[in-house]
Amino acid sequence: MSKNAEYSDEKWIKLLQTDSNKAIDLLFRAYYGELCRAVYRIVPNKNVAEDLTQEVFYELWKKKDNLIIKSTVKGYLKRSAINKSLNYVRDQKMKFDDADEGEIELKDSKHSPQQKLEAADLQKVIDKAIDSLPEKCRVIFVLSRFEALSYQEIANSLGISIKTVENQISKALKILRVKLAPYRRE
Amino acid sequence: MKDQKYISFLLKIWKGEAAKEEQEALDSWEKSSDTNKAFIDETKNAWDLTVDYKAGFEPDVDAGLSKLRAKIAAESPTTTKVVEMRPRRTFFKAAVAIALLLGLGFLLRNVLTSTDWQELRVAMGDTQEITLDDGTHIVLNEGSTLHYPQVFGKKRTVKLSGEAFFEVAKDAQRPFIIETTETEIKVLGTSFNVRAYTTEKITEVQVKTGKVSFSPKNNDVALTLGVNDKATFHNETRALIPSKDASLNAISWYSQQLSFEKAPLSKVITDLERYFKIEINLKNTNLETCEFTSIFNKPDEATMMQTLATAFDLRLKQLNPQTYELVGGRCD
Repeated sequence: MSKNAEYSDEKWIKLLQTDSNKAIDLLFRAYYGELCRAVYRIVPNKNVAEDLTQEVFYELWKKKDNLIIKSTVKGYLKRSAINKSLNYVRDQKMKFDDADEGEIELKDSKHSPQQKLEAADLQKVIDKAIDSLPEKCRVIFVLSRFEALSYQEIANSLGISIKTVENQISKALKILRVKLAPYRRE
Repeated sequence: MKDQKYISFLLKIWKGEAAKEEQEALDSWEKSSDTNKAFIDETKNAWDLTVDYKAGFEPDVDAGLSKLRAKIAAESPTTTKVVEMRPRRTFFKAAVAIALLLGLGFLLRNVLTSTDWQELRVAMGDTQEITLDDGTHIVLNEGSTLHYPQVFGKKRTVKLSGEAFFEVAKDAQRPFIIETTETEIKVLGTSFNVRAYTTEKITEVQVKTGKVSFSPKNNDVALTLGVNDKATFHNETRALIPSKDASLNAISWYSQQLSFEKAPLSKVITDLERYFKIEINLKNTNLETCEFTSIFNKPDEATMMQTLATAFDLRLKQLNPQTYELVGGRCD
């Protein structure tokens, strides 16, 4: 990892043009895992997540001679990955609109006994809890929680109102609060 | 519904965007009852735990990089350098042709009709490369024979029996024609695979880049094949059939790579049988549609069969050096 600290962003762009094989190699090894996870959080299929992430690097290679990166290379790759993920879920006919704002009644946890789980089991519980959210709600929650997008940015990306974004995130937290109440970190 | 207000305060606090009044309102609401405090704690807990969502996913970086490199390599054309040379050669040949026309009447007829055919034979277990007069690059697979002229005339024609991968130099004036015993393949400039062993009763063409026209000899019917298209001509029935799913592995003998992308198991088996020259019997035919994704570089037979068995929980039996049986198993 420390190898990559040597490269500032101008140097990455230059390296992509002078020795693209080496650049792609280094960038891939540095960011593939993280980008795959980011995509996987939105598109719940590991194979598709890897395919989409590879496409990000492939397109970077294709554009290498015409690159204009306004932020960091990592930020650029991340943004590209998120866009691809959102396009993918859109193509899978996941409708994003402002309808479907129904309230959900949840029974309160009422201080259920704390459960300490093995790390791997806790991982499963967390994944399952978030995967159980309604699709639209889940994607909006993920974009807010993990990609540090503002409500405005999320609203723009999905073609919905800011109010809907806020409501969906609150809805997610309501559901997750109840589902995860019995569990604590070690 | 009130909860919503305090949840939104919490979210703002976590983003660092909360106004002082909002932080204070939340604090006092939290302190006002145990239920409220528990609510806040549980919400914080949920937020905290969710940071690990899908954190357990650790993709294979090396495998991913190999796949990316394969895709990049497929996009890098190798015929361009040949095209650059062409204009000079054509000019030279044109000059020669004119000189002959002007000076040498009866000799001219000889030059045009007697082609200096060469023969390249490749033994079993071997492959061989050749670059032709126009810069076309050909790799021949084992047990193949190529007849080609030393110098191309008005047409660029070669004869193939066996299997070869062609990278044809671009020449819009002179289509490149490959004759096999039963078919004719016409190209302008492209890369593709031709499989026409006399021992097999088919002729198969698979295009990698560019366009190819594929037709039975003495027939007006021709199929045009583009990138990743494949077609098979059946010698006995004389049927020319295009194939929707061109195999990534049609040129495995040349690339030394087996690549599967959500390939059904039935296809994986077909490709392995061809690559290793073995027979594989899948006992449980329900598994034919199981999907397999992976890339193997220079795979050896034993490891490959074992990997396949492990992937689908199959029992592997080897009946003889060329025959395997896969028993039991499940898709996932």
